[in-house]
Amino acid sequence: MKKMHLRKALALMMCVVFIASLFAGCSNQGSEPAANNPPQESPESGVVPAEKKPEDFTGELTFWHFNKDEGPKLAEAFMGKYPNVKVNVQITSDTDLAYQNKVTSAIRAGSGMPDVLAAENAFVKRFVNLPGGFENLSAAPFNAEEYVDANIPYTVDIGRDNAGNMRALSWQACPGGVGYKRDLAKKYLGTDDPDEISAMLSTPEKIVETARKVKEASKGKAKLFVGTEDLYKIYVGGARTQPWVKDNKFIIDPKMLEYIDIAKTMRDEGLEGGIRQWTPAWSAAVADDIHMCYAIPTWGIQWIVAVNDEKNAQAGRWAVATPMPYYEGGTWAGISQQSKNKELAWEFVKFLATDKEHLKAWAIKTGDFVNHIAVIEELKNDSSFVNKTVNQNTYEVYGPMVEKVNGNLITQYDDQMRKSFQDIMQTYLAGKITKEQFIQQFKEKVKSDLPDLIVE
Amino acid sequence: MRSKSIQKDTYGYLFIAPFFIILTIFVVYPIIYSFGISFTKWDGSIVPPQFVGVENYKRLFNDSFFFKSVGNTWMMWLGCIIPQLIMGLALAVALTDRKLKGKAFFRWIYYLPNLVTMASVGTLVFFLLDWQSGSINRILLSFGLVDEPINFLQDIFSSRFAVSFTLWWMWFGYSMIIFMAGIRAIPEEYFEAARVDGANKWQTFWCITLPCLRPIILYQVVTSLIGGLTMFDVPYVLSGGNGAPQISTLTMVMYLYNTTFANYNFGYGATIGVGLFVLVIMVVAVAYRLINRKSLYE
Amino acid sequence: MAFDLTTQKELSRPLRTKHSKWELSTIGLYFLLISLAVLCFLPFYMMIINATHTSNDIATQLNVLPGSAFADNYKRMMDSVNMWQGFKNSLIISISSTALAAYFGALTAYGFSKYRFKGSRLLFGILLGSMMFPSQLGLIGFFKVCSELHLINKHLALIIPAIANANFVFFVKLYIDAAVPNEIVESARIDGCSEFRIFNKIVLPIITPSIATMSIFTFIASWNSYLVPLVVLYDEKKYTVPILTAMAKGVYRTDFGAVYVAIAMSMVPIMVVFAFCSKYIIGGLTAGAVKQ
Repeated sequence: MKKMHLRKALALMMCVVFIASLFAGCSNQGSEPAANNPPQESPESGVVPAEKKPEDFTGELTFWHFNKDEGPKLAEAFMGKYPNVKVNVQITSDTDLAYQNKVTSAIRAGSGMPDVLAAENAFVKRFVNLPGGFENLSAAPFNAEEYVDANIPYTVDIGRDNAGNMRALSWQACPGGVGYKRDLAKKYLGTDDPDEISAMLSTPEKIVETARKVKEASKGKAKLFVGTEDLYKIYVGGARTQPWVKDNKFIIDPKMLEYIDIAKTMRDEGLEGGIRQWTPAWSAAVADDIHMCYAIPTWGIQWIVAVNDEKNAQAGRWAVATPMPYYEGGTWAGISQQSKNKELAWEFVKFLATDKEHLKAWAIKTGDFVNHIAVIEELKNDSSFVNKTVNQNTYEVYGPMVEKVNGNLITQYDDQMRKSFQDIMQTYLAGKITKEQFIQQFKEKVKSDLPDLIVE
Repeated sequence: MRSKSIQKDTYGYLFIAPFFIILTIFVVYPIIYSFGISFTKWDGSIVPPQFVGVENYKRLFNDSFFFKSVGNTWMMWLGCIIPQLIMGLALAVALTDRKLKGKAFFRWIYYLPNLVTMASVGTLVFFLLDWQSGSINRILLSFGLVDEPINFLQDIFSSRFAVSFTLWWMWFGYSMIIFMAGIRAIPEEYFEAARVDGANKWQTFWCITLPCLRPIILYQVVTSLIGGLTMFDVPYVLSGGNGAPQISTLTMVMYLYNTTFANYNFGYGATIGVGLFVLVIMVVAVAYRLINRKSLYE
Repeated sequence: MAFDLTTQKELSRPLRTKHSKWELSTIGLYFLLISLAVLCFLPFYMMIINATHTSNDIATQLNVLPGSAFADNYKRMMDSVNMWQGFKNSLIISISSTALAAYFGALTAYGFSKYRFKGSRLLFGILLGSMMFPSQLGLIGFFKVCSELHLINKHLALIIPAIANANFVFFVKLYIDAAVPNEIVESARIDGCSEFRIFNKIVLPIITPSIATMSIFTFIASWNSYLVPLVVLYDEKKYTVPILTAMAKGVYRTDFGAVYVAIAMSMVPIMVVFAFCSKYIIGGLTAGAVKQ
């Protein structure tokens, strides 16, 4: 029967194409240089006073992380220095809140938790306040307070629960800047100097003004910002002075109203790209010649710019200006209350967050901005430490911003707030509702999502 | 002989025992558990649920989001089921009645959309409809049909339409196959008689095919109702999870899911679930009556 | 009984019409059928074509022809997730749960169909009711059950519940009602067959078409299942294909080249299986609806 053959042929054809490409894939595999070299850790013990030497620690740890690009590397670094310890990394990405729900379920079940688990900025505040979750590190035998003097205070404070006890530690500080494409800046704004660009973006009025200039100079082709959500990051992580929730009361900071207006102006005049963050179009636009600026926190140089513009990752096409201080992101790690091997787990967490040698090696290897003050000082003044992607010493760029970060802006509700705010914001920007309706709908949504809050 | 079979009837329990043991453990118990939770306030942590009586149910009856989600679900379901049945029926008639070439091929290809995960389909449709980079806008722009890209997913009508259309795309092939099965079951003599009486195709369809398929149509409406009222994946992906724009694509299960797993309000989430469950049972009971009245199945 | 098993084997039953083959309406019909076929196939085509393009191309242009980035995409995907291990896991889970659902589903359906015992109507009502329960809601309780039974992070947690597949029972019962006459069962009893032997040796072969049909549906549903495995499994080595597909996206980058490779990989086996099994679907369904 001919019809049967046509159908099978179609299926088989796809199968053949598919298998053929698999072989093509395999043959290519060998030629690629290994991207993840094992860390070159020095075997001597760090500055942290410990009765036991790293070699004396033995056993196995389970480590939960949400990012396959970071988790395994952290474990490798630890195992490099503690040769007799094995860290099993289990990754669950937080797509559709999968990671958060997994942790919540395991806590509820009373078993199945790992020894050490990581938490991202978006949900760390919820995790540290979750009964049955993280162990209290301020208490004996951990006495974490003694170890964190060298860490940037805001990062330490975020790891505290509402009672002030330390539950999780971080190794990163994530102040943010505005990343821009030097060639576009030179072409449309006449300069690619970070300081001058910073000056052009230092106030809301100036941002709009600069955006208009770009539009004019490019005859409407180029856009200053890729989308309004990049501006949102700057406002929500820095410009405002009050968090979304204070004393159980829901607050809309006046600065957020200002953001709404700016974003609307930029959308109506065609000054931004209208691309939502983390969409494929947003990632692709990193490499194009149209969209000039992104909000780039410390980790963004690697994970927003370099990975999406591989051709120019080493070419210094980008630069980072720091017009307004804000922060975005960061990862924390703490010990699970269910851990059977808390001593070793604590050694791991302590290593990640306070081992100066590791942190310096980590910074050099990954380009990450660590939160250890002494390391920051060293690298800031090391003229040879230049990030190839932006052709700047990132520690020199971001270093001064660290002190200006306001760690009190973070609450456990931020992720829900961002989602609701942005969803309704997009409708407002599309001209479907008025600003009053926007605020009204946002409040209703918050009320429905978080019925325990007082919404006025 | 009758008495013998009555003796053996207790074997029935043995045959259904494994099923019901597993059902009790993995389905019935979770249902009862949820029902219990619906009377509590609980964030899903190890802090035990706190009994609040009918507080959650009171909230449910005054919750505009819930009623909106009920309305949305119905609207998007109707937008899908009506074209789905019409198309399924038309294709079934065309592919059984005519001397067409490639029937098996068409049947196969129309059923394909039903094989993929809804989430993958949703993701693809989401890209197609994207405002700045979506393929549909790009095609419209390049043909000069529009001057500005259309922001489909911010428009209430077009985003609901997108959900209905995607679901239609996934399910019309299934409808077609069920209808084909139904048409085959119609005795050939009926058609023969119609031909003898000089009925044309159109008359045959209205007077024989359609009336005979009535129970099949009702069966499809009921099964699709159960699926439709618990609609989740497609609107979830297309709206980015929150039922945007303006809560117009929020379905009941999405509301339940978000309340429970994004906002950690397990008690109220369970209450929404109970509300949904009751609604489904009521609707299905009504439809089941309709089926049983004039049915091939009984 | 008007049922005749041979009718289902006829693939078509054309009405003899008088008019010629190439009438305008026929051409019109072909045109409609083919456009609809294109509409059905297009998204698949796009997914597979997208798998051969870089993430950048996918995001910025409409791809119609195959690109050359498949190997790179594949390599990046394999770097981030072990898809072949996922295939193995998915196959283990889907095949065993389909087998369990098939055997126990048929067993249960037979029990309901051929025995008149007390409470059977009520139990069947419960079975129907369980079909109407949104699985997302049962998830909390389901997780609790699994952790009590120490099934967390085990494939068994996804396999055992397949025994209670209400859809399967519902459909196969309809088929048994229609296709297995009581006389066959009675005469086997007179010959001294035990009840289970009757089921295994006589009834099962008769109802194979309906079991095949439902098995295909069950297999596909199990293969595509996402939410429950995600909640129950912790270990990446135990993840199934849909979870790995979601993971291939990455955290900070949206690597859609890799995602489409993963989607294509997860789809192709199902499409091939379906291409060779689709006749069972229509066969089984036909007989299921034939009772008069």
